[in-house]
Amino acid sequence: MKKHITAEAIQQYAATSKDTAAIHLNIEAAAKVGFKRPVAHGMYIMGLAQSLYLIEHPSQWITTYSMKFQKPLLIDTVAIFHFEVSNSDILVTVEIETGEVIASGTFTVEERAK
Amino acid sequence: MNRVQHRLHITAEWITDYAQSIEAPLQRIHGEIIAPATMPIIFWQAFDIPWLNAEGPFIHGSQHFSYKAPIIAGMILDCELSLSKVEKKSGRQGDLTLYTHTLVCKCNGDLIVTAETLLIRVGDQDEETHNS
Repeated sequence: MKKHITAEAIQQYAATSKDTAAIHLNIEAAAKVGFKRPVAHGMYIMGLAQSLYLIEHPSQWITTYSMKFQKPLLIDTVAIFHFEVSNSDILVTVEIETGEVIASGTFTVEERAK
Repeated sequence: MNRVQHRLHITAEWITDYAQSIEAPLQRIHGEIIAPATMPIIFWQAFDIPWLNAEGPFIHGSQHFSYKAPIIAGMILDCELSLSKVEKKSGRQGDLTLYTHTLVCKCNGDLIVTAETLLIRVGDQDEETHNS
């Protein structure tokens, strides 16, 4: 599943989460630490991965969820989300188009009471 | 003391705002809106975290959530955020300090969610403090 990570989405996430660190919002601040563009919040990526899965599996809720953030994801990048079922776990990997892994994790789900 | 507590009222509006920010579908259990699993990370905004104020910037290394029950709109959660471990390591980027945080939220004494957050600081904070 592909998702274009936009500056607007990161600005909205920053406002809601109140994580307004300059590296997420400001091109100069990102440049100071060696990035060409601002960097998405790790928790935005983790949250988005969960959302993309649940849109496809609306009867489930997530009971455990772990993610390791491996590389920064710059805004205006296409992120690719892979989901793989392994026994009772769902493995999630987030890559960019070069194949570089940005984050990876695991979650477990249960059927949701209506 | 590396431990702070806060009582949080989880409103439907707060859940909805958060869900929109991560494009999450709104889910319900028994007709009540439930929070996306990752929402407790924004509970941090309610805390004044004295042991982080003087430090930083941090890299978010990893994150874990474990639920006993979903967070439901209208819940009053008693949350405690603690610094559970500090480790120093040497990595490719130089000296690293790893701060493991544990957030535990209960409703009427019943455990709802435990979250573990690893924040990484690059550089040797002690050295900088001593030199400043």
